[in-house]
Amino acid sequence: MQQYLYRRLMLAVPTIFGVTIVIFFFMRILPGDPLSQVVGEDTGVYLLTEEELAAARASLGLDKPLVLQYLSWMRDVAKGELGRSFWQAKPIRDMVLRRGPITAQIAIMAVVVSWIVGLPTGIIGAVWRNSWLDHSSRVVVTLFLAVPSFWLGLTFVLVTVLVWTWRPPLTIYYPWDDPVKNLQITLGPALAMGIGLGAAIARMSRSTLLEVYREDFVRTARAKGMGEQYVIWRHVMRNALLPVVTVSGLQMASLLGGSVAVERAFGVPGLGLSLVQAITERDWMIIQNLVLIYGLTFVFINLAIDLVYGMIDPRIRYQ
Amino acid sequence: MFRRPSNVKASLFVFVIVAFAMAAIACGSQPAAPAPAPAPAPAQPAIDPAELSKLVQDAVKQSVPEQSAAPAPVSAAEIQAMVEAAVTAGAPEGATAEEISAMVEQAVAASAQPGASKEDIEELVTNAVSSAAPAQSGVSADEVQKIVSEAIRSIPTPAPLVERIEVVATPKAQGFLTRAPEPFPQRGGTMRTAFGVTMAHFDAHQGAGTHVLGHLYDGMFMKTIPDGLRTVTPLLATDWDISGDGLTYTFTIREGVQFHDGTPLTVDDVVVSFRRMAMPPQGVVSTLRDFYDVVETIEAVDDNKVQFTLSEPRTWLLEVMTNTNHIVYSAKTLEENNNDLRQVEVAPGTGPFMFVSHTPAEKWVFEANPNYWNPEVPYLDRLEMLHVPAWTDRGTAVLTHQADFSWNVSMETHQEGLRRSDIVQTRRIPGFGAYNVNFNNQRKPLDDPRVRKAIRLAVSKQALIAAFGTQEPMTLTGWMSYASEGATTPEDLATMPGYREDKTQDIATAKQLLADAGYPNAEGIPDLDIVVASVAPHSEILAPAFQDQLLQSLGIDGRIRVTERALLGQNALAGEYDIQVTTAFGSPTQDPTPMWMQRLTCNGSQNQVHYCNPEFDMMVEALNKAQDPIERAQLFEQAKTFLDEENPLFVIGFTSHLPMWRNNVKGMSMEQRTHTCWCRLDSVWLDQE
Repeated sequence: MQQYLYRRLMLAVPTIFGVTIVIFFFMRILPGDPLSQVVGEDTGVYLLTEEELAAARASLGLDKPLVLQYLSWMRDVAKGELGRSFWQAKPIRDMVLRRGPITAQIAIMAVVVSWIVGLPTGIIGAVWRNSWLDHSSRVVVTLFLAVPSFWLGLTFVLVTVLVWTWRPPLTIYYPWDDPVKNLQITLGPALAMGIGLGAAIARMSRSTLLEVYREDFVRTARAKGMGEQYVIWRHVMRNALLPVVTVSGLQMASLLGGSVAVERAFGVPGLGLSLVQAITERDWMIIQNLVLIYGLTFVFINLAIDLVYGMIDPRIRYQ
Repeated sequence: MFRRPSNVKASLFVFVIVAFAMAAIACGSQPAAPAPAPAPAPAQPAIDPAELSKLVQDAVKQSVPEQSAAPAPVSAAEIQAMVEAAVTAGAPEGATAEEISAMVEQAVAASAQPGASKEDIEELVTNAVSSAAPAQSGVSADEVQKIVSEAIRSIPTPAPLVERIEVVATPKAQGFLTRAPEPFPQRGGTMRTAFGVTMAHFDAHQGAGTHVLGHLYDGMFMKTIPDGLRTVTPLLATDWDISGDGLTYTFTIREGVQFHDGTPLTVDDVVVSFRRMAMPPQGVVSTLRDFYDVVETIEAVDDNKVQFTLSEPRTWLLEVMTNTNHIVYSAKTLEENNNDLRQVEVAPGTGPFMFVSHTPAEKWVFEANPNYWNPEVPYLDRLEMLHVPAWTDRGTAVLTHQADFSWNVSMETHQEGLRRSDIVQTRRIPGFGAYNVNFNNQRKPLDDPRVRKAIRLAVSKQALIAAFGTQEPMTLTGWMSYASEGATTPEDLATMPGYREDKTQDIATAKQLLADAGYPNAEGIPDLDIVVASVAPHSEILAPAFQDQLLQSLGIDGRIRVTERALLGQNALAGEYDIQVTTAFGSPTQDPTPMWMQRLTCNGSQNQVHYCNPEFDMMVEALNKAQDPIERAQLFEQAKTFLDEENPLFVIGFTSHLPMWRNNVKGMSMEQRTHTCWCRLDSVWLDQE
């Protein structure tokens, strides 16, 4: 087990290294550069002479060789500062630490909501398959799979504004500062995303439950005279849940990066909005660091999922 | 007491006329006199509230200035004459003409402060009516008051007064300091604003967002808030003197001003700051350089006097200096930071607010500067500027009281705001930014003015404006905003070739022009390369609409190429496009000359369309020099006619902004504003009742 863990961690190193290289060089190959913030429609100055452009680039350190630029970024990462934005006076770490918790809270809440909504729906559909309950739940599930979560968000905000003249706060409140306001910010996005994810979970759990239902060991269990409930909870569920855990884990990983559309719909100041902002400003440093964080999140969530498999299914051994 | 309904009519008419004339007065600095005592009025029988409502509304509408007119400031004598005429025509009984006249004189004297808000007018009229018609059978004072309030609220937004900001001829308003337009502003409170407050860096001279940072600093002047931005209020310059030839400007610098770090302001700070804008040192990209292009020297001539010498006149120089980015930094700060303030979040300023905190992409918090040199302002204790990038969120934030004010909300929240006048106010104010289509004037076939004119004639501006209506309001405009000096009104434009709605004749002319240019039925014109930024409304509405118009009306085909917004400038510089759908035709001033100079003259630093015609350059030069209003009007007409023939680019329309504020936010004179200006909030106060 420990060996497995070490090996996986060792494997993560080249993956992350690859991510940093790719994002660093892609940002510099793709068109557009941070100077657009000095020279752009918004500033009124649109065209600069070549000399001015060169001088402005030099002032941002963009005239240095790429390898040096990369190494200096890595040095900042190693120091834990995650580098500095070209423009903002504060290290990017501060921004990630401020916004990360809200995005993470929404992600966790959304996954919890998806289980609360999705699992019972899936189980009902599988256990009473082809009943009216199953049919109606499948209609609802398909509906929520089709409806994008940002649309739910927009509708939610619109209704609360028009009917109650209320909307969620626009600035960050942490649970430990003001739990009520914190919930006002996070609950909406969590529900909007959780319902969509829940629909996916419902569909996935229904089909895997039905599959496992037909397995030989279920028949054996029944043949041994076990009660139906015991069979379902003890044998069917444990086996059927593995894919659900995988899906949930991956959902969580992508949510931790921040759902851009839903954050936008609710106006939540999370990491997703930061990324969009950084892309429009061509702030390479912020983009690089956020992508690095996503890479790390994915690697570690995948590892966590693999470890959870072992707990759910004792037959799985790590070698 | 009134005897006949006509007395009520006359009396109300008088007050409404007076009130609106007051609003139109652009004037000086006397302190407000006590509110006028309404004249005693004779008794009268009941009046039908519906009739009263109608006559008040009529009176109010009549007194709103015509959009096409270019009203000069109205003098007190003129108002008096006007009211006397109205009163005589109304032949009231009970109240004599002298009584009314005295009343009017008082009212005018009281209003001799810059501008008067809707609330002031409402209060005046309400006072008058409630004391004139107390407890009559049929109509109560409350009813009258309600009717009058409703009438005043329903006044259409006053049309912008198409006039020149008389900076050159402005009376030297020595001693005039910014204050709220209302007579008794309250102090205290926190105002939260909702609009975008991110910025790439913090250096105002290099393009940082001074709609935020401007509160921490002062320039030489600002546009006067109480009179709706029609005149200039001194900030750090207490006096200025312009030589007869327009080549020497001498500014007297205010004494006793301190930076937030306690350093006193000296003439050196002013000299160093303006030199930095005009003649930026190595490595500084001054976005303001163009406006000082003819400034040869900036010198201190005294302990408190700074002199600018110009190689040629620039009539708009003072107006451009009222913009929030022409601010004074401390020379010490500049030196300490090696002239680069881009990463310096809190360079000390002399402004009405002081920095408290900044959470990037979330909010800025400022507090009142207790040592501000103008003891009257700011009224607010604290200013919290929340980062709300989406226009809809800005509107919902104000509607739901997550914020108190926004400079620009979305169309649908603006409309909702109009329905919710019990909690918010909102208005449409013309701005100086535009959506436009750049032509590459050096590439075939757009190098031929006949082809460019054909496109202007054939493409329907109304259709493009309507297509974009859900995104941002635009107005039918020519070569400048309709709030600009010298603008043709939208109504007049709508009758002109190429601007009118009916395209039958224009398309026929356009086809003939194409044929004359050697492209009969658009044969021989290759598919045009239409470049547009990857901003959804631009690339998904405007560009396809323009492309479609070209094809439908002239048979010219085009291919849309979507690129990053940040790349449009480079794309323009390299001239790698036929057509660009963009937003770059904006003006820093009400006078459109600097915009034309930067963007359409041969050596214009922002000439993205690669247009060069010495004849037009001469017109711009003449406008840069001309002071006489009649001469200027002629020059503007000449330039507009010329551009209508030459069409270096295609203006889709200049935009309007939709500010929204809670009912308790006062002191901004939004009703009076001639144009949008995301400028300072020092005169704002919160009604805390």
